[in-house]
Amino acid sequence: MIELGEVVVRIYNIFFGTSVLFLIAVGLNLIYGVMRIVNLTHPAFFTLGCYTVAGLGVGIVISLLGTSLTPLLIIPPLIAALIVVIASLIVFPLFIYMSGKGDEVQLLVTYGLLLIFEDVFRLIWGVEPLRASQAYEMAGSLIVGEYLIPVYNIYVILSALILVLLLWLLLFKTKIGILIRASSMDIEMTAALGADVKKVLLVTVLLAGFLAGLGGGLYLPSASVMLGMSVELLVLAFVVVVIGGLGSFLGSFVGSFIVSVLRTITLMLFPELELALIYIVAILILTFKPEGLGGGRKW
Amino acid sequence: MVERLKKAFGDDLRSNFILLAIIAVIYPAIYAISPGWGIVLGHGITWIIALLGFNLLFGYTGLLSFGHALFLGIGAYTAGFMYKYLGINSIELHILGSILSSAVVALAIGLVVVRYTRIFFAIFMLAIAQVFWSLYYKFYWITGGTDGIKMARFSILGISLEHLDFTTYHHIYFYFTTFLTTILIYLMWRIVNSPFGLTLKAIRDNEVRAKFIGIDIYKMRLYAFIISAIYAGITGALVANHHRLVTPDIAYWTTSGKVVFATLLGGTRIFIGPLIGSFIFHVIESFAMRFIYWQLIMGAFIIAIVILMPGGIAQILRTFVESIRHSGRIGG
Amino acid sequence: MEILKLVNLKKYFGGVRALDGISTTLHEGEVVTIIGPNGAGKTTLINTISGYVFPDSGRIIYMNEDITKSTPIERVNKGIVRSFQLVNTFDKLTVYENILVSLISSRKYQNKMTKTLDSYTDILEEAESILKLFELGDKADNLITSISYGDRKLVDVAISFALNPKLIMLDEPTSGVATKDKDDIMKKILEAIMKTGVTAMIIEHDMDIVFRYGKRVMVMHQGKIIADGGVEEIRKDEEIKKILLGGVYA
Repeated sequence: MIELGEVVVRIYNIFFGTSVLFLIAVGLNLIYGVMRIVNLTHPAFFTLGCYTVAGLGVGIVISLLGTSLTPLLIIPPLIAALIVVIASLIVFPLFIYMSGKGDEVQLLVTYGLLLIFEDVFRLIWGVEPLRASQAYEMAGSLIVGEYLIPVYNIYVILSALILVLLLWLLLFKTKIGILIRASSMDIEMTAALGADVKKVLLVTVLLAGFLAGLGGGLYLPSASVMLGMSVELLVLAFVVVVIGGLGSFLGSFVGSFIVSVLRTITLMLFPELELALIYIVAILILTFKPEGLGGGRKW
Repeated sequence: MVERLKKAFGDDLRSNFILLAIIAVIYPAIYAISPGWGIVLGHGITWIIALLGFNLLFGYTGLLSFGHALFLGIGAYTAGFMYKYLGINSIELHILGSILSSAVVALAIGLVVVRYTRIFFAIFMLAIAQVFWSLYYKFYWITGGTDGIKMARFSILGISLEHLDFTTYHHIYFYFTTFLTTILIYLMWRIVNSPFGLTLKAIRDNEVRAKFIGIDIYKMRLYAFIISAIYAGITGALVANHHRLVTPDIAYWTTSGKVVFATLLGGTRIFIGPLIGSFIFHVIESFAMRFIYWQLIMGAFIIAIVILMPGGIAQILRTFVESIRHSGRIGG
Repeated sequence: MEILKLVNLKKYFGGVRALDGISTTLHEGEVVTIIGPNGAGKTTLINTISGYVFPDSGRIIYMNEDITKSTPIERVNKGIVRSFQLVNTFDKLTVYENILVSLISSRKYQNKMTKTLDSYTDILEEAESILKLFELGDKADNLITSISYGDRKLVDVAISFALNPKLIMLDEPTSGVATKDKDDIMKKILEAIMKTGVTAMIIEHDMDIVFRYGKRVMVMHQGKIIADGGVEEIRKDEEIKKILLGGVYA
């Protein structure tokens, strides 16, 4: 008999997982939607966000403002987002080069970047896993039956919800958002209508980087970051976009949720086969519904 | 009529065999000067086989796999298990075993993955390889986990090599592998230049038209996938015996990256590409290993090759050789 | 002998009647040119006969066999072959190899992997004769992407010919080809058809070409065959001229 407490904890873990995956997948889909590039480097941006918080952000906050919760909740993720935006800016010329090239080129170039990033992490932060759980610990836990629910993770879920809302407002209510969506439908037409497409591409890449960095920054205090994480995330994020449908905003959410549910179930029942089972589901979905569960809609 | 099938430099058998012969001849001298470089040549000759398989899949069939380490792992662990659990240290049997196991695994996985191309194929392979890699870790009571499986020296033709000094032992490994590689190059050359090989290229170039002239593209891709896996599996078994240690590293995604990089470096779509790529790669690697951030260099190289010299070194050599031939013809 | 018989074929896309009761018969060795304004249903007709589109109703009888439900590949194996409006070739291969691939498939050699191509002299010889048929011999060793668009069109048709078809359907074989080359391409294609005696169905937009080379002409309009007869007969029909002019040049 599963207790109520356990059910609550599991459901809440699913929401937490969904939030984290969504922040990765939505950027992957943004870039695919607008540039038709499957950016294998994207998960490395999330990892960079994690490393930035663990290796830099938390330290800065503590040395300037002392160990107090509110700044620790807010400032390190923003520093992470800033650093990732800068990194995105550095690789942006490669994205311009790749757009319109065959997918072979795109796969290889973004894969090369992934290799580079993973080694840059090692160069800067070494091979040991890094933690910075001050905010996580200070936020404390709620007790449900025999279980503890970390308050920090609730903060992550709420932040993700707010980000979804802001992103929605940006994409649907601002001029640049409308241009981004228009470009993802038909970039040539958007260009023909006089839009500065290069600017749209730049905003897209930076926005995706910002979300990944912020996501990584929010995620880190509840876990640790280590080498190889980018690839693990890539493999997971890819399932998310396959399930949700490549390039679909709604799909990012649907996919993240399904993958989180699957992870929770498989980790409970067959922890060794977690990834394998998730991929079997992904392949089934791809076989029977190639456009994904996002219904093939773009936004 | 047959003249139309004449091969340019690099696609002909002769250039491949000449290069192999040169390596085989200079190897003892290089080993004598520096055993370290002799061993680097040993790595070079070993990895050609896996790269040939990768090139069949990527260069000739158009399927880019980011998980080729999967089959290197299967080959290596097959050899490791044969030694650890069955006490077999015959390298010939290790190779036979890994051919069998990689073919079976490739058949099972291939039935699903060859239905996808491009990004889906690339990432599915990456994911499946990562699953296997994690299994090598998680089932440590079988695989030895990160400590891996330590192996004794292999025996060959039933003869134990335990009593030999290391130099002789390594020479035997080198020439056995060279012999095997030569045969496998020859076989692969026939495959690539057979009706099957041309059909693969057609599928690579235009999957839709290939389907509509009556080709079962999934079946063809599956065959290519299995052959490619077998080649990788053989390299896996050889690596296990060369290092005398099998760890999950051989199945890690960076090993797949190594395969991708070395093949690109040598040149895809050109038959001699893997041969050149394997040697150059290992030479660069042995310099770069001193510099710990090797992956960074590899990544930067991949990007540079894709952008600046998509045909790899083989293409540059071909252009060079053809221009010499051409000027020779004009002169004569 | 009857090779193809279409019985009351219908295909609607939403409200559009792409095929609205098509019935006709083709005899062995016959060459039919199909004309008609854009949207008349010409390409849908070829798509339906080759199996890319299944009709809503009606039957397709090929050599006394009902193939209405056969897959495209089954039809290719039975000898029904088509080409596409846009060039559809194997782009990193030479002209020669493009034709060889098709021959390999037609002879079911695609599983053969132990012997190199030079030992299959049967297909090599056949490839030469196809090259000769389309006068592509001097371009055989060129990459397909390095020859003119008109020649690529020819190779495209040659790929179809290499499958040894009994019924070949060509969807605007001269579309996209420079006007000065159109005549030449069409002449070569028709000569190939005559020499091999294959039954052919050709969609063509260019009236000059049709009236110069066509024999039996079928006029389609709004999913129906509105006229079917000899070139002279069609050319003189004022009503048809009006429809065609309205469709093509308006």
